[in-house]
Amino acid sequence: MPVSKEQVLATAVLCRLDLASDVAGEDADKRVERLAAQLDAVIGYMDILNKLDTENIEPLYSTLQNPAPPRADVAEKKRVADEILANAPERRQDFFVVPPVI
Amino acid sequence: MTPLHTHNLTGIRDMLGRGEVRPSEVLESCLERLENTEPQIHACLTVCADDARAQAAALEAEGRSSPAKALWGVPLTVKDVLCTKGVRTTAASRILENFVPPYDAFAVERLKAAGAIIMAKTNLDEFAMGSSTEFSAFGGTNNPWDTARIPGGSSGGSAASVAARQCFGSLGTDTGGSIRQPAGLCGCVGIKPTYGRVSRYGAIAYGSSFDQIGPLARTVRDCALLLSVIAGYDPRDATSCDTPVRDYTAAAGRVGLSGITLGLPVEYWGEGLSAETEKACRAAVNIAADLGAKIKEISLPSLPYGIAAYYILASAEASTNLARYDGMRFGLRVPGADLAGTYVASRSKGFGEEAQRRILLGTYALSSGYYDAYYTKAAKVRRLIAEDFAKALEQCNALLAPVSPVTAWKPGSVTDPLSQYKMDILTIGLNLAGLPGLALPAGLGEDSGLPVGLQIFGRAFDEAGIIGIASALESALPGLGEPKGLL
Repeated sequence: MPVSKEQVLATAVLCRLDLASDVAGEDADKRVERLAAQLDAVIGYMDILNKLDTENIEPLYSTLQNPAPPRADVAEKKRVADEILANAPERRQDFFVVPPVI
Repeated sequence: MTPLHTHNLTGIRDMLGRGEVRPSEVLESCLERLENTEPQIHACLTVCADDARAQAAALEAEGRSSPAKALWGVPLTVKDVLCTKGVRTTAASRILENFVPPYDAFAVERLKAAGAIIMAKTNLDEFAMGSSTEFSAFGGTNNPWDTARIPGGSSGGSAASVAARQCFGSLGTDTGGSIRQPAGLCGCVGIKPTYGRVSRYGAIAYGSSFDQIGPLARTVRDCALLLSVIAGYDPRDATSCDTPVRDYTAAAGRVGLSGITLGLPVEYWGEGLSAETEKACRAAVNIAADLGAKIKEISLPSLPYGIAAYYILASAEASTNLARYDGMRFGLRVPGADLAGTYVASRSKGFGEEAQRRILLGTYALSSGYYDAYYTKAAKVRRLIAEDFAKALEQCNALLAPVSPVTAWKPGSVTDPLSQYKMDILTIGLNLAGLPGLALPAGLGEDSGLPVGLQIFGRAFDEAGIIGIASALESALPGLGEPKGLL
């Protein structure tokens, strides 16, 4: 299936990317066109999968053969707040500071 | 006297164990070597010299334990996609440039408990997405055999640091060939264990149904020793298996290959291989036959669809895994006009272009209207490929294939993404099937003089089997010697 520039831009919205933002000297429009052409080539190549008959084949999402036994449901205190908050971009007391949600 | 850093891992471990050398002497030799070679190869993103020296001093103070720790005093490097407590872990991405994990990955915990010294975190393609280490946000790594060439990837820094004798071994991760391919291109041994053999706890996720941690070192026995330390059940990874861990170092003592049937899948030995790659790998197959192995040509008919299936599934998983990087609780935050604007700005500035391409590809494949055509279809093809491997491995103890169609290439020479993805044609099938594989130096290519690697694929959880086969082959193959590209 061909992939258009508009489809690529719509996909970028879904995954929270602004394709025109990181230009590094490249014209923003040209970058979007270049990425769209690359994705079109990659997705176009994926269409070879249609040559294989997969009727009645179950999808395989994981090769795991021996599922790990469940853990006992026991609460444990693993890390203190300071450790977790050490990587926070912005912190106030024991809270992450984030932009207003509503 | 031979410089200490030139010994292999098992050799230096034994010298340390006998008290012939002290951990700090070994470490200083490695740090000096690192200092001399790093300007030429850029294998490391963070060198932990002070921590490593403190650790060596602590080991000396506490003395050799009884029973001896498996890696007491041995300096190692670790791919910078595995979390190290208190040491910056970047995944070679701007988005994690200042991330300092509050915990160690399971495999790192195991290394430390065994007495190993982590001396540096190695370079990689951003989030392990790539086959050349060119996609590191912090600059590429050069191949110790020819510093004008790439080391392979994504564990290119690990392979280069091992080949350059900066350390005695390293840990990498293999999602689509990222341990085996750089090991092959740098002339090292690398093992991609069975999916579930090594806990992924603390490994920064790329494709969670594929990712697996494994060792790189200069000999099969060294890799076997590292694997025996990091393998095993871990309740913190729900995909970790409690299948018993075998004695991998004992398996590395195998001599001869009588009673072994080795399959040559025709799909791996056809067109696309460079003449020197095919010649070196065929010579290794002939040596296997001389050692008593029965060689059998077989077919994996669905394998040619592997690239398409893998890049849909792995990108879909990547788009989900990388959704966590939103600039809120950790990682880069670039303020935007509002919450959504901050997400977009942080991700667009933080992710490099290849990571963005794979997020886009994965999001597209998972989006409404395309999910069945791409994601479900690819998962069905994955089953066909896994079944092909299972059938082949019913008839054969292991399969042999070249690691890479060509020896190490020059940076910038493979530029369009689809051509880059196709370079993984010989490694990704194994990841789709979740099976173990080992890369072994087959020799030097007669045209380029660069390392050519041979892969050995095994049955699920039969790491011991492929280690044995590799060990027998290794002792009969000509050694590569030291890399020729370093001053």
